[in-house]
Amino acid sequence: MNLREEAVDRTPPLLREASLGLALISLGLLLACTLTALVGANDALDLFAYWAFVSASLAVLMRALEVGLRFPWDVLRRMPPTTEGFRNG
Amino acid sequence: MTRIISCAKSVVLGPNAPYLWFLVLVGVLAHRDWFLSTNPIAVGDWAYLWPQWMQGFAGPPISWVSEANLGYYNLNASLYWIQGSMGALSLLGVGFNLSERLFFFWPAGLLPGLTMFFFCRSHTGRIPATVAGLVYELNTAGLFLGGAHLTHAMAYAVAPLALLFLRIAVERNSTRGALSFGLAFALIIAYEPRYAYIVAGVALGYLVLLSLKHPPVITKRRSLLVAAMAGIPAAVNAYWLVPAALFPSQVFSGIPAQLLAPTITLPYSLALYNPYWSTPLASFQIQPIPWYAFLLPLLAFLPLLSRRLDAEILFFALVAICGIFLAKQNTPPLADLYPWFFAHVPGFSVFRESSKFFVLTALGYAVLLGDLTARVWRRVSTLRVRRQSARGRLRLQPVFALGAVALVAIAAVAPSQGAFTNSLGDAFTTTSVPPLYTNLSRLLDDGGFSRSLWFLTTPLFGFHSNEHPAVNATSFLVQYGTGLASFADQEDLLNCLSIKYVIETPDAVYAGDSSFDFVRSWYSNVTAVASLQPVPGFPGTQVWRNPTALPLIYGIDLPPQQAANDSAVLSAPKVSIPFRSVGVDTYQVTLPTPAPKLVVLSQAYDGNWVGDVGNREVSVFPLMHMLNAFDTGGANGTTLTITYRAQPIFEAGALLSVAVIATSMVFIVSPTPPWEWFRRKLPEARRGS
Repeated sequence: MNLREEAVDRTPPLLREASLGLALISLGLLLACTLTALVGANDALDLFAYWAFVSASLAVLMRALEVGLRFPWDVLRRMPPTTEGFRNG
Repeated sequence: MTRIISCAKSVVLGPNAPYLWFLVLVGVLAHRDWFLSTNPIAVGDWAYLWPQWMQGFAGPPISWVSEANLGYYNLNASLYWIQGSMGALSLLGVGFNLSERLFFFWPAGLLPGLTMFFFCRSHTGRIPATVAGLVYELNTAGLFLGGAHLTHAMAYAVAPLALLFLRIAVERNSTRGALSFGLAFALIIAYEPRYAYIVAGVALGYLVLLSLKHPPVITKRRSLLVAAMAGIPAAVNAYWLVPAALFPSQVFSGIPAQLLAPTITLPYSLALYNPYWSTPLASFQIQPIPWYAFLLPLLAFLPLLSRRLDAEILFFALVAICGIFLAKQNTPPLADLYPWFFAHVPGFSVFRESSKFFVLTALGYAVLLGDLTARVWRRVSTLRVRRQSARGRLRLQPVFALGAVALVAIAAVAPSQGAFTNSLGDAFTTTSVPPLYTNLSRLLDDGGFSRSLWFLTTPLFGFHSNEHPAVNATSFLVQYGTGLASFADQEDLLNCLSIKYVIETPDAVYAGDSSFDFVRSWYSNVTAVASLQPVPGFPGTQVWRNPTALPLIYGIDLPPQQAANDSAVLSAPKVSIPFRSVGVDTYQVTLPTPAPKLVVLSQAYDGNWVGDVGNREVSVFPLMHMLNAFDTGGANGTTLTITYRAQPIFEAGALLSVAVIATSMVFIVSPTPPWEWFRRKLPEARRGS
């Protein structure tokens, strides 16, 4: 099953856009981390790393929420076939 | 067998071969001395092991280890299969130099890249999988494990393999996949149970995700496979898990678990950069992060900008986020959460410091960077640039392949460049056994049980085995009380502890360090004992022999009520009594007539030592708060059997472990499942009868 193709309409667009925005902010802050590490500004590095992590975490959590909302949870109700063959990979 | 040969053939010559050989080459170049030298590797906690030490582990697993100080409950019991194999090879003449490479250094140097390659290959293709393998192998956090923590490095190396087998088991409903996962996870437990705790969390989440992706989610067969995946590691390790639960050792149960001060702050955690990484490695000295270390998270999180993100990639992004969060320990953000986990989450208290969580970040970043490479690869492979040239059409793929590897070279390899210049030091370089310690080993290995007392600490090459334990003067005083250093009767103290040799080796590390003065004062008191005889022939080292050291088991005429009175114990008359070792950690003592009031076992006191006189259990109690004493109750002329309570379970559990490993291996390599064989053969047998 391809998760991307299932019930796309249920995804709130705002969630995905916010996630993408946060990911962009996170990457910008990581770039700032790179530059501050280059010049040795440790206080600024701590600050940028802090917010880069927070925004990356939120971006990932939002995407996870989005996937969760998109997921067809009725698969949990699908019954297994009555006869199952043994297969070895 | 055919299956194994065809598998090996495809690895060596198949389409994966160029990528695998490339990863092998990188692994060898990054750990040159491990592969191109035959000298021993010993540094920090990774002490040199003498053949006598290794041979002590050939045979059934040992529940009580004597090799250091007064002995201890075998906290490294999970390593039995590795230590036992080293012991068996040692009996065949294979030394430590080769054994440590076979079981630790060579696999730790090669496996991380290869296992990550196989984990990513089926989803991303070969070039992205190679990139993922490079990231997993060459990040400084992963490489640092090879600098001194080889058991951690091995667990780190096997983790992607376990996840690969988990995926095979769930995606294909494969019994072989489930059994292989069980064995791989058992191997992680064997090398480092704390990593198993972390990998179990990832595996559980991954299992849920894969089950959801491959409905029906819950089936009888999948439940059986999951039971096998959980049951095999538990059965293989039952020999030490069950005794640890039933008989918690009293030696260590009183030591409270304490959280150490954090060394990994968020920037290090985010950049997957070990704070001690420098060229050469500078343990316990925090280093600044180079700017290029941040290229790794920058590239790893790039796929988050994609509108189409596979659920598995998202899962590993989540794993990376969890790794970053936990590795930063109790520093912001949410600094109080780690101490809360430490105090309240079952099992989390084994993580006194957080560096082990780097494995989560490494797994996450490797998969994310593999995905990034695959995305760019797909995009580029759809483009074709037509140029009028002598060769006609020029495709961008080969150019991109080089570009992708070059990008990773900057992002992942640049921080770890010291590995390629062979200038890291520590366990990345070899050493040699100083002749002094070879000569000392000949002196100390003189038959019968005896201890040697090393000042200020046991050196890296200090001889020790279960028959000749090394007492580290500093850790001994810390464990049993610094008051021992000022006992008036040092001669009897040495005798009671079965210390036959006292050795002071030159130690530049602690020279001038006043915090060790209490140990130095003990050395002064010990060497003032008149009966100690200096042993010549060890230049630069002071060696003393104690001719009156008592054996491992001896009798003492003292009422049991006075066993806690140190001066009464030391001044009481002691007698040698005949005893013999029967099996592992079991002794038979022949009590003379008249029998001494107490029989002393010169091992650290632990309530799990039990005595038995004529089918009557004799309880153990502490002598001088250190040793084990048994009240004979005047049982003259009988036999006292002393055993460590957990030992029989260790031995029975090892048999179970062998049975499970053998059965699983037979099933994995056999071309048809065993039940298919029975299904075919049974009707034939019935027809025949």
